Parts: sequence; structure tokens; C-alpha cells
Amino acid sequence: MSIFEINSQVSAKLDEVRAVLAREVTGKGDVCLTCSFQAEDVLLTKLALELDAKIPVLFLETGYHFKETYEYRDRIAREWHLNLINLLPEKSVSEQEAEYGLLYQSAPDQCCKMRKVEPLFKAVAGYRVWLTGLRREQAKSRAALEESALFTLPGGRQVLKLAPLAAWTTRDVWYACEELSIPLLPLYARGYSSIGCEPCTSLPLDPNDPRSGRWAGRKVECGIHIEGAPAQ
Amino acid sequence: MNKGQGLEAWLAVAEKMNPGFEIEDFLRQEREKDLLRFSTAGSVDDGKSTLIGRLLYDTQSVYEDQVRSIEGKGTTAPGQIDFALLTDGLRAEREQGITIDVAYRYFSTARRKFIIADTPGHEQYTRNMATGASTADAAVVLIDASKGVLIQSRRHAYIASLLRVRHVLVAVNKMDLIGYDEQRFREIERDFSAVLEEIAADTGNPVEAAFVPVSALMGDNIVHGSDAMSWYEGASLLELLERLPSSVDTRNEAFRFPVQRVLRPDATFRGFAGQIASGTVRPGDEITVLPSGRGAAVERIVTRDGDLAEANAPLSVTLVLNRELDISRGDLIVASHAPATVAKSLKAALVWMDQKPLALNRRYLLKHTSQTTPAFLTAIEHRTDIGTLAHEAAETLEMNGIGVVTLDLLRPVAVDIYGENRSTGAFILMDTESNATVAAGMVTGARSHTGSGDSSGTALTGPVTARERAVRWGHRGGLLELSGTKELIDRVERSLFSIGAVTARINTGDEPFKTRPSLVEMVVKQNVRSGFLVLVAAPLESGRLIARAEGQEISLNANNADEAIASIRGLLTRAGILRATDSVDWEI
Repeated sequence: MSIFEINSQVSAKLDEVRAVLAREVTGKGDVCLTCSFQAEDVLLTKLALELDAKIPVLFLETGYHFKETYEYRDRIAREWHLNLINLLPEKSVSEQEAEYGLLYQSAPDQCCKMRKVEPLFKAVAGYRVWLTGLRREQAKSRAALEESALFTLPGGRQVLKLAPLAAWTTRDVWYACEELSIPLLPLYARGYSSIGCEPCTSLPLDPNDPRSGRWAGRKVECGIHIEGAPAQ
Repeated sequence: MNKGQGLEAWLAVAEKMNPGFEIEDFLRQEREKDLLRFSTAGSVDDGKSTLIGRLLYDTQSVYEDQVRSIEGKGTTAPGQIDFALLTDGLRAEREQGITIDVAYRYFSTARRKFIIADTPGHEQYTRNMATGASTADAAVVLIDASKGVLIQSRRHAYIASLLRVRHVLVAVNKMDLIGYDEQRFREIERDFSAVLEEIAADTGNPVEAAFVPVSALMGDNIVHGSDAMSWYEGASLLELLERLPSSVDTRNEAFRFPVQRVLRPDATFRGFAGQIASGTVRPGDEITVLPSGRGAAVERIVTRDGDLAEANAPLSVTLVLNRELDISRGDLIVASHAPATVAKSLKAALVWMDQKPLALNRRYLLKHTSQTTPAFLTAIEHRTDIGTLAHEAAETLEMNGIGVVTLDLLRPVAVDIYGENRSTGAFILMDTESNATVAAGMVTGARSHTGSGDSSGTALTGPVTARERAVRWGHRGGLLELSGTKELIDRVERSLFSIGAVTARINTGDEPFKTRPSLVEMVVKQNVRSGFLVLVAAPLESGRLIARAEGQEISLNANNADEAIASIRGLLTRAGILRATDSVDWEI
């Protein structure tokens, strides 16, 4: 496939995503977007901003991210004038470590629950639509991902969860980011392919599985994207 | 001071008719003459200015130099006076330096004194009509005989009926242009009578109408009769105005007294000053203070000229009660046997007056008697099409639009149905930023509010609940952490305070918090539990403003305070501390 063909394909795919977004993004503040500042989320953010410059962009501020992630987040937030909302866990890193020790080593599920899942579900409950950059190709656990589905939160409330990039390949994402001149998180250049909290992110163990560097192979999902998973 | 033509003329006439005439007697009679207020509203070019000019001129209520100054000018035939110039000249005089929505004109005849609320005939007439007509006893609606019944005439009559202006005098003007044709006049009379009946059916307020064929330009049937229309046997417009029943007597309505000021000159005296909105009060009367529902008896009615044994609307008095009650400006003192409804949710007929259309769920300020509270328009039940009087579904009301809406108020107010009380049943809505009046409202329904301010007057018992606090204060207890410059944090607190939030401020740099940071948490907990909106401020010398509440953090540009404040309000709403605009009630 020539570069030209790829580019025109990506343009067409971008327009499809724009069409999906245009149906839902109202500018009324009832649509949020979760953004980890990985490539697909930043791409989706860029496209959503075209429709609503003030769309709430939710970032899980676990306190454990890479220094590079924080710098990149602040740069994008500043340059794109993001309406960035950092979601904070109930306990600070030092409070949690003082009480439970290094949970990311002893019980990573517990750590993800307190620092990611709970704050996110609490925040998302305030919106009608939740936009995410999830893709099927990212992991086996995401192979059945639907582009649009009602997601039931622990309290029973439902939000419409949209993953307009569900069918996109990693390659599509790279080309689209290049076409839209989106600068990417510098950690990709160092070989990371899926980036989360620093203690639980390493270089991928299996070059064919982008998320194999997460949680050192012990698990693949933090719990947010598994419906009904988090227990009370 | 020059008393003007009117008074001089009357002095001369009175002296002739009554040789023993005394100036004192005359002045007493003049004082005792009753007063009729009426509003006029017209479309552009229907001759309203001419009509008012003619009324003033023929009743000799203008100065001769004012008449001289316009003689030979204007657009009328040689030898005629352009009375519109007279009216507009007076208006221009009044408008110098200030903007006037409604210009009031005074004139008097042997029988009665008049105040005209003159509402200019341009596109903003709705505002003027509603504000001018709301105190009027009668409305003069103009119809241009050469054009027939236009939509504006229907609108004027509709608003007058909505405002319970019972008497509508329909002046069918410019009869000279149609050759004083009786048949045309009768057609208009028949058509517009039917319209008025439909209007009365729609608003539920009866309208009593009288039709007069007039030519303001020629003076036919304005003050004097008309030779050109000998077929018309009715009274002239002025005669009709003189005969209308005088100002609506509110003495027998329920007693309503909005407190304007609390007077406490020394430890021995505590009085509540205001103007009686309706009804009568006497010492010994049992009263209830709303919204608190506390009761007392009136001990004294104090005025500048000594105590009174009885006082009626619209007298301004100071009431002294037999018990110490916590009363402040905006409270309503009512007769205990006929209290008003304390409501946080209203249904009202609304006349929209602003260029910017009505926005649902946006915050407006509702001004009712002597108090102001934030309010949200939650729904439009219907909009009335003035042309057909059909009720249609609507998302908004444009300028001059009329409809029935529901409102939620942040604080309870004591109201009456407008049909029962014109002063405590009316309100205006203002824009929160410009303070411009955007709508006039007439309460048609009020949901009794069963929170802390129960209108039955019975005190609730037991501990004060979080819900009661939230209902009263318009927000829940919560914590807002701010770091940024002191100036900006002050502005954030000021903006929250201004919407009625009960804020508590903790500066982490102050003692004892500076040396004992653990105290912050304790104090915050107690205050949040008590329903306060607690601001924990960590002042910085410069840089961005960081705000946190309920696990959400936002970083804001310090150079745009207004946007930062809006974002923080959004944050507090998402956090459930400030009430979301679309939720009707608190779920706590």
C-alpha cells in the first residue's frame, strides 16, 4: 500500500469518527472524555475539541504516573486550552503507602481500584456520554469491544460509552496523529507501547502484544473497562 | 414655582363659580380628588403621541411656551398643532441624561387627577407595558382605524388582561382618515370585542372594555365631543376616564407587609419599616413572619406623625411587635389568619422583555417585593401565540413572548397568586450579570415548601438535618480547596457568596493552621457537616489557580477570573455541592 493510499484511508476513517462525535457531542457539558494521554486518547481529544472546545477531559491522577506523562499532559493542556479535570483518589500516595504499603506490588487490583476505578466511576456518573480511545487490537480482553454500548456503573446508573476508534489499528493511530500534527508522549520513542502508572509499566514482554508490559504480565486490565468487575 | 396653565385656569374658573373661593379650600379639594393611573401603549404611527398631546393640551396641562415652541413645526397642515411634537418634546426633556422606560405624565380635571404611564411605541413596548401597566387601573389601547386590529393591539390587550388591568378603553384613532365612517368603527368594535373575550377566557381575568371613535389630530372625542361623528352617542375618552371606578381598593385584601429595613436606633426600640402592599393593620393584630413562620402581635404602628390606630395600603409605616423575632429585609409580615404561601417552586405567566431569549436552567435573579433570590427556569409549559391565542410547546421565549413557565428558587419566598394579590403575586426576573430586567412574571401557582420555612407556622422539632440546611442555603456542605493568588481566591469566594452560598474560609497560612496543619481537617469536617461551603485556601504569590473538590482537580488560567469562576462553579455542581440546575429537589 502506498503512503498516498494509507493517507486517504486514514482521512476517511477520521471523517467517520468525526461523524460519530458530531452526533453525540452537544457542547452542553453532558459528554466527557477520558484521556490517559496515550496516542489514541490524545487523537480522540483532538477530534472532540473540534466540536466542543470545552469538553471535560478526565485524567486519572493516580499520583504514580511517569514524570514524562505529567509534563506531556501539562503541555497539551496548555497548548490546546483543555478543560482538564484531574480525578483524585480518596487517599494521597503517601497516605495509601503509610496505611497499606506498596499495594501495586502486594495487591495491584486493590491499588487500581482505589486509584483508578473508583474515582473514574464516580466522575463518569455525572455525564450522559463517556468517550474513550479504546481499541479492539490493544488486547485480547478488548477484542469484543463495541463502538457504542450502555455501560452500567456500580450504582446502577447507565452511561453511553463510546469507543469511536474501536476498529482502528495501531498503524491507523500513528498515521492519523501524524496527519493532524499531534505531538506524542515521548515514552513511545523509548519503546513503550502501552503506558500507565510508572511502577506497573515496563517495556512490552511480547512484541506482538502491546499491553504485555502492563502489570509485569500479572494482569491486563485495571478494571475500568470490565463491566461489573469492581466489587464494593 | 409656575403652577402652569391647568392650575391657573382652574383657579380662575373656581373663583368665578364661587365668589367666596379660598385658596386653602381649593388646595384641600385638589388633594382629596382621587387618582386614576392608566397606561397607554401603541404601535409606531398609530397616533399615541398625538393622543396624549391632545389630552394634555385640551385639559390645559401644558405650558404656553411649550405650545409656542412647536407651533408651525411638524408634519400637520398649516394652522394645526402637531401634538405628537408636544408629547415627544416632553419625553425628550425627561430623557436627557437618563434612560426612561416609562415616562409618567400628570394632569388633572375638575373631577380627578390622572397619571399616564406613557409607554413609547417602539419595539421594546412589552417591557414598558408590563412595568407601566402593572400599577395601572386602566389601559388605553389604540387601534388605527385605517389599519384595523393589528397584532400589537392584541398584545397590548393581552398583557393588560394578564396584569389584571380590568378596564380597557379602546381608542379607535384616525377616524378622520376614513371619513368618520361609523360602519368601519362598528366592525372594529365587533372584531376586537371578540378578541377581548377570547383573551379574558385565556388569562382568566375579566376585561371590561369601552370603545371610542376618536381623532387625536382633530380633537374628536378626546376631551370634547365630535360634530363629525354625531352617530356616536357615547362619552369622550376623557369623560370615560373620569367615570371609571378609582384605584383598586386593597384595604380588604389580606395584610401583606414586605420588610424593607430593620430599625434599631437604640436598645429599647426595634421596628420594621416598609410599605403596606395590601390590606389593613391595627395594633393587636396577630401576624406571622414568612418564611420563618414565627408569630407575634402588632404592638404599635409608628409613623413620622405619631402612632396610628389603623393603617392601610399603600402607606409606609414602621411596625413594632410584642415579641423579639429574628426578622430581616426581604421577610414578609402577613396576617396570621391569611398567610401567604412559602414556596421554592413557582408556576407563573411570564412576559419576556429581553433581546436575549429565555434560557432554561440558566440562573436569573428573581426580585419579589423587597427581596432578591437566584432562580432557574425549569420548564416552559406553553407559549401563547398572540395571533391565535393557541398554546404551543416551546423551548424558549423570544423578546415580547408570553408563556407559562415553572421556576425553582434557591431560597424560599412568600408569595400569593397574582389573581389574589397584585403586589405579592408579581415579580421581575433580572440578568445576573447586567441586572437588566428580562421578564415580568405573575404567579399562577406556588408549591408549598415543606422545608425549614413551613408556612403553617409550626416549628419543626429534632436536630437540623443536612437536607434542611441544603434547602435553605441552596447548597450542600462541601470542601473546595484552592491554591492561587489571594486576590483570585477572594474573587472566587465573593462570587459564591453573591449567589447565596454560606462560605467558611480557612487560610492554611494563618495561625493556628500554619503550625498545626492537622487542625484543618478537623475544622473542615465540622463545618462541612454543618452545611457550610468550606474554602481551604493556600495562597500563592502568582501562577495558576488550582481548585479541588470531591476528588476532581482543575487548573485554571489566573488571567481570566470570570472563566475561572465559571469553571469552579461547574466543578462544585459536578461534585454535587452546588445544586445542578436541572434537578428539582435535593436527594440527600
